[in-house]
Amino acid sequence: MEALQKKAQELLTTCRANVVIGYGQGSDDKPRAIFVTDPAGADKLIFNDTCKQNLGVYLMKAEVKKLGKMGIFATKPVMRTVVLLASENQLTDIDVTVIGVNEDGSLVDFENLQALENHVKTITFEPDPADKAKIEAIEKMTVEERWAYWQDQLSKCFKCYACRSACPMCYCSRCTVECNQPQWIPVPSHHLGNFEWHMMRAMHLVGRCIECGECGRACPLDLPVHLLTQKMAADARKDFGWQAGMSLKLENPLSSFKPDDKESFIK
Amino acid sequence: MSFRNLMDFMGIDTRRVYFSWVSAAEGAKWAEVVNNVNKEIQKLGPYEAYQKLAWAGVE
Repeated sequence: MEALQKKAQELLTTCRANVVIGYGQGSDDKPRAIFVTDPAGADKLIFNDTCKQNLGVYLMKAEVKKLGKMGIFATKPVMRTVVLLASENQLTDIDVTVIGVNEDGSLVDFENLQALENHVKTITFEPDPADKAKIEAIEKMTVEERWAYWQDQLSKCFKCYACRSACPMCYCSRCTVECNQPQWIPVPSHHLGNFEWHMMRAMHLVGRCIECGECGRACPLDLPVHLLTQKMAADARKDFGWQAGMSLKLENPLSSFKPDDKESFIK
Repeated sequence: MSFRNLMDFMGIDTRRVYFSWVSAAEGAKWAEVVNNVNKEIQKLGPYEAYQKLAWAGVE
């Protein structure tokens, strides 16, 4: 933790960052994101096992961006987030300095995004085993059971859009759901509207979800919305051999064409 | 492919969803696709699960 605070101080004093994004102490012993702009405030930074939130989401927020160059303490999911955002031309070396935080708390200072990409390629990422098991259980259900399961879960949704706000990949300043001429997605949170919203959100994350599970954690009703995007990520791995956030080159399966893409059901 | 998988995962009856690539110049193919869809859907009958969803949760 001391090394982390020192690093933040160093970034701020050497102007490698104007704002450092990290975890600080929140209420109820829970960590929260903090934004350190003054080297003297670096001692507020903490890091422990409970620091799970994907901080990458703040890299896309205008309020943080305007503070200047961002430094971020990146756990494994955040590293992939940064690589994915960079591949989509949302971040460059001018915008961000990444300090990797390993599971044991040791730090890796990445000189630039290329160094980050090289590092990301050497580590393995496994989706959460509990979530993987849940997805497999749903896959084993009959189509009627799946329909009933998702209706039961999604009918509770009241469209607070916390899943969208918590996701670093949902960075459009104007979302389709706020577009009302024409209105693609119904505004009321009736069952059909909820179904459409969650389907659209999952579709927009195909090949982009890095399986951090933040959407599910952000949900105030604990709906398993992250299973939808993680299922899409698992399919992208299976069908296209694609893992999001591993390369600075934009090769997302849905935005690139390859002659050997499968299309067995299109007649 | 992903969209079809997602619909299936959410419990939508994918037997009722058809994907086809038809050029504007392929009138005969278009007729064939529509006739085929019509025939298959008639066999399945009305999609009652979806009809129920459309009105569920509406006061």
